[in-house]
Amino acid sequence: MEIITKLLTETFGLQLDNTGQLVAGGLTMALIMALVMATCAIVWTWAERKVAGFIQSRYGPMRVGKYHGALQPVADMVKILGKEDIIPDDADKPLFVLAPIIIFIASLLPWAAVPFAPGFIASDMDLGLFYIFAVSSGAIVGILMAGWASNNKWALYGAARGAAQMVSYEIPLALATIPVVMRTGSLNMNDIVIGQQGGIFHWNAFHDPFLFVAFMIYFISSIAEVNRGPFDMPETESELVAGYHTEYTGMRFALFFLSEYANLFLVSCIATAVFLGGWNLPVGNAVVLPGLVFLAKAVLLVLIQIWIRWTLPRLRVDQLMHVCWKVLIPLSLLCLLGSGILLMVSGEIAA
Amino acid sequence: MEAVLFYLFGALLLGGAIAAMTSRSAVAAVVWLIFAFVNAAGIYALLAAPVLAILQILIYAGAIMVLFLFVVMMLQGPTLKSELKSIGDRKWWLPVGAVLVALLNWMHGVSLEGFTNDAPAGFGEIKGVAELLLNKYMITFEMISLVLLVAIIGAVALASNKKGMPW
Amino acid sequence: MVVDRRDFSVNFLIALLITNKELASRKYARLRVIYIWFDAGEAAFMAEQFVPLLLVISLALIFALLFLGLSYWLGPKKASKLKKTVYECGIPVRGGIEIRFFIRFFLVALLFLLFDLEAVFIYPWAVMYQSMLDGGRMIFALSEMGVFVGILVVGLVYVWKKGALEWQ
Repeated sequence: MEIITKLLTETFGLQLDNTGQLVAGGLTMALIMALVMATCAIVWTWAERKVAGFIQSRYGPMRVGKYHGALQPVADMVKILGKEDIIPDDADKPLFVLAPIIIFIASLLPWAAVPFAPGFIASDMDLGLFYIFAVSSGAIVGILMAGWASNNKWALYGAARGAAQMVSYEIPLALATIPVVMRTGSLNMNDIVIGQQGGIFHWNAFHDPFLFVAFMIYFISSIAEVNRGPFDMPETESELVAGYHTEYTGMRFALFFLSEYANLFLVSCIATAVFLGGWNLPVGNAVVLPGLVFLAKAVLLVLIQIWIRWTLPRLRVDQLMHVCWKVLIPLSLLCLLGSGILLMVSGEIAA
Repeated sequence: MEAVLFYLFGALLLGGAIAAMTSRSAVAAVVWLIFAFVNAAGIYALLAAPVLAILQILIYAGAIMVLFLFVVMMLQGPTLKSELKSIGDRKWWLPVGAVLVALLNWMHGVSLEGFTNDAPAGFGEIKGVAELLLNKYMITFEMISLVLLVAIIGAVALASNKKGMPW
Repeated sequence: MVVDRRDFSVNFLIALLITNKELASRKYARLRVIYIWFDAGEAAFMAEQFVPLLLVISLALIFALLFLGLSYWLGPKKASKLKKTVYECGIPVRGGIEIRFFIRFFLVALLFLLFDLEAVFIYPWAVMYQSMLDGGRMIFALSEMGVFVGILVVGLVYVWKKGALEWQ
């Protein structure tokens, strides 16, 4: 927001009042959203297929576009726009129509608090981290609605599984960020990034062992939270056809698909901001090309998630619940305690 | 700006609540309730109480309503379009509602004297909340965890039969 | 009572509804509260934090409706009875959605609710922890949360021992 405001005031010589600030906010938001949607739709679907192909010793998309099927996602988008939109007769129509829209909005809302670069954040909220957790939980409601409204047993099973998995993993996800909040003393995403200045050992993930474990807990839970392999229980093709979006076609299906990739990118961006130093470089205090540094880290995390998806076999439901409730939650509580003691002792030594 | 938003959220909140009451499908009623909660969060945010607004979304719209959806799905009969009795079928709620509104009206006029001070700066922010919660209301804060413990035991008791868990 | 003079719409409303003298009287106590609410909502918070959020919601809605509208406009509309049945691996649909839901889904949702509440209450403490340490109240700071989390760990152990976390 500040960047746009600065641009408008300094470059174009505009005097900004409240309305002007609103316009600036709107422009930032539109920019961020366009960035997110374009990357998710174009880059990630292509990258996913290319990496999958690479891992399975094949090429992946090669035909559309000159270089390695680079225009394949564009072709897919055009194709999906021209598809028929089918609503089953037995479906609960209002809820059926509403569900993908809710999921789509819930996947775009958290981006308002992601700090891409100093000043390039749509809403510099004091409660940024809290806000992100709150609005992304809207997806759970959307999934349950989709499964229910489809009036298809596979969709309903998928939705129930998906919701149970997402609510379970939300707890370790939230608990893992608490040591970071303890260290920073703020929930503001900007403050959290600024608090990690000064090289790689000041990044939260590598600051001390407890925070490193917290980072691992966050990363594992975030994969489960976005329903990706090896935690893609809601969409097990072999049992549930396609899970909660079995009955969706055309653009409605594309909205599910797009939000899935937006969420994948989102959890990586949050991990970058909260644990991997955001726009800070591994060495020194200087801020160089902050936006690119941030994106580079986030892209790395996305690629790791794609790699994990195509390498590990799917878990069973009981294993999934075991990992969450009996491993990750106790471990994150231990991290909390350890971080508390460590902060206390280090404060004592400093004093 | 604030006034416009206040009336917008207020109208949507009331509309959502009425739709939730008169809806014949239980799932649709839950969805309307979520809509009402989100608008209530909007009003909290207008009141400069962002913590409350986010808790409203996180706990009510996100967690409690998911529980409601699970319960509704477990209990719903064989078809989607079950003919639930909605509150619109019962006329007795009209006088009851009128009495409640009159009572609220009266209480509102009487008791607000002395409460109309400006809130101190940072009152609804997380630091203000934490300050109060961890010092002045410390005992209450610890009691919350006891209440949650009771609720956990209650949840297990609800789900289990005499021999323990059904699985 | 303070009314934000900068805000045109609020002032306009006041002028429309009521005079200042009337506002001060007891009869209009309710209205007065509404004005004070607006005043407590700081203009800075509104402009910098809240309004962008409303923009995001509207933008996301516009994007979604745009995509759906485009696809509705471009896509074919050749519905048939068979096409509009629900999917069941290519065979006629057997049975509806009267699945027997396991009670464990309910239990997981309930446990999530309780532990989510726990996490929500830890956040304010985490925000204050560093400043409490700096204030020299170390044992107090740690034990306050230790007791809180400790009681809930008892709950977790209870659930665990009862076998409520087993999914077979």
